[in-house]
Amino acid sequence: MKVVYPREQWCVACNLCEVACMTEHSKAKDPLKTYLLEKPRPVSRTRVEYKQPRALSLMCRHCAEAECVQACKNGTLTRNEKTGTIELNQDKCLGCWMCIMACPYGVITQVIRDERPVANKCDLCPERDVPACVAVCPNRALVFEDRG
Amino acid sequence: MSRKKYVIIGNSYAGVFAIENIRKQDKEGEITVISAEPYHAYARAAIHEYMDGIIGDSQMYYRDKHFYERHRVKTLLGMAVTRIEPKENRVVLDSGQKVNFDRLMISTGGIPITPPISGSKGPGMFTFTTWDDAKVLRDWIKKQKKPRAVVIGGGLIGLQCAEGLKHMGVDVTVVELADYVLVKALDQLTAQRVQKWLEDNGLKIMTGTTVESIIRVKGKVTGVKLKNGEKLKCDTVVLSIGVRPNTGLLEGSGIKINRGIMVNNTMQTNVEGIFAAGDVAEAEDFLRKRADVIPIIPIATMQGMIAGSNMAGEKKIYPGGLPQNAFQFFGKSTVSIGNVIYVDKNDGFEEIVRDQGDVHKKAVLKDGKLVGILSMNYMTRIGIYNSVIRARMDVSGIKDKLLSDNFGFLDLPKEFRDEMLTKPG
Repeated sequence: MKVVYPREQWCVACNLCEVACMTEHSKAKDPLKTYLLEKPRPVSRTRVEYKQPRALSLMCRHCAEAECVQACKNGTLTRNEKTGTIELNQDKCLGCWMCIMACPYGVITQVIRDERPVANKCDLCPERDVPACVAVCPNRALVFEDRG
Repeated sequence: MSRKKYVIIGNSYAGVFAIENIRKQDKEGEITVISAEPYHAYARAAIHEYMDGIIGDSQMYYRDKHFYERHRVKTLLGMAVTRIEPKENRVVLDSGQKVNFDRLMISTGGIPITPPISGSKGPGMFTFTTWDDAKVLRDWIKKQKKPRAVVIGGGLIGLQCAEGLKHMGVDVTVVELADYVLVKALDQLTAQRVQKWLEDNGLKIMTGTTVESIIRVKGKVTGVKLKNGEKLKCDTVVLSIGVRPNTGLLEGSGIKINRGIMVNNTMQTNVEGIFAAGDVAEAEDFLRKRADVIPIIPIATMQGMIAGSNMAGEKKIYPGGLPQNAFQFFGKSTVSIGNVIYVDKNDGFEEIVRDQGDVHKKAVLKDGKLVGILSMNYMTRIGIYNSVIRARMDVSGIKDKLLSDNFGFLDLPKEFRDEMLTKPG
């Protein structure tokens, strides 16, 4: 299946992917309104790691044998059998953080939703053909590919 | 060829993963799952949150309600297997019904250890490992005027039960035989910090002693007497000193048991065609390279996956289980991965500790390789350490960066990063 891969030789840590991700997962769908007005402020599901001179942006890889799904204690994380995507049902999440512990990529984070801490991660932008982070990246440092 | 018959005993984490992975390979075979409990697979590890009402039924079910139908699984729920007959390729249920198999998986989990304590027979005494346990305890507590409970055992199950009871307004005392709580998961320093946090939130914790007898007046629990001579008043006692592999039904089957059911790296027992997975199985420990029972969810599910795949004819090898746990009490989280307890310098171990305000982190290295991580109140990207431990990577050159808050893939070797990040996960 297609997932997002970083290409660290091209990443300049401009953080536009993080902004695009926040905006995509906001109500306003506008970066400034999202950033200034939305409470709680949406959190980016990709994270730019920057250690001069290198940088890379990393988010959920939707693993074939996903360790978050294996660690989840109540089925909050499941594989969508049709699309292959690893889905996270925040209504169900208990905030035990077993998934954060298990994820080998370190890409599941904590967010507050309905005043409750729950897990959060990349959903591959189900309403788009190409995820927002990939679409916005000026350097093709994020690519949406099927590498088997 | 006739359709293969798969039978799975036990309907929890390992069972569900076995079902999913058998179906991936074999669309035609007949899968039957048998469980002594009447429920669809549920979140065994969340029963304390169910008891105190934080979550309801919808958050308890592990898979959607069409799961069995969609995977064409025949369920025999609320039925106990009493005997396994490998020569006849069948299991016998308590009703007398016999079920034949070509491939069998035993995933009967653990059962509470219940040592003989004087006065423990009768009402007011509970264990806490199943959904029904949580319901029964909840209903009992609601009937007490001023409920007071003693929880015997300060392990994960005991403390989670204690937190649940506290949320219900119960006056709770935990009695732990060791010098501190969570001895199997944490080092002393971290455990004492967790303990203090629990006490700050109203739990009473007594360590270094245990319950000698349950005091009853006219059959009713009125208190417990401790080894140190002290007496505690209570109307409720929860016994949670630990669980052991539930191997009772294997008697006379010829399937080899040590502490748990012994399996090889395909999760197969000494009897061909019979597999075991989860809290009942004794399989390779990734770090110590010897067999052990490690009763945690990620290991149960992985073993279920490996067993299921191999039962359906695929070849999958178990990479060994890495002990790990994440838990939170009263909103504060702690995670422990690998070995965080044995740090003897003479054995090549080294400990790196970082304390900063509320955050406490510790790394354990053996001969330069990362073998354990402990983190309190800091969860961000903690799973990356799981990869580093799995890779048996030498980290002696990056000791100064290892516990910093922005530790990440760019601190690790380029080859490792390429291997991890440019290939499908």
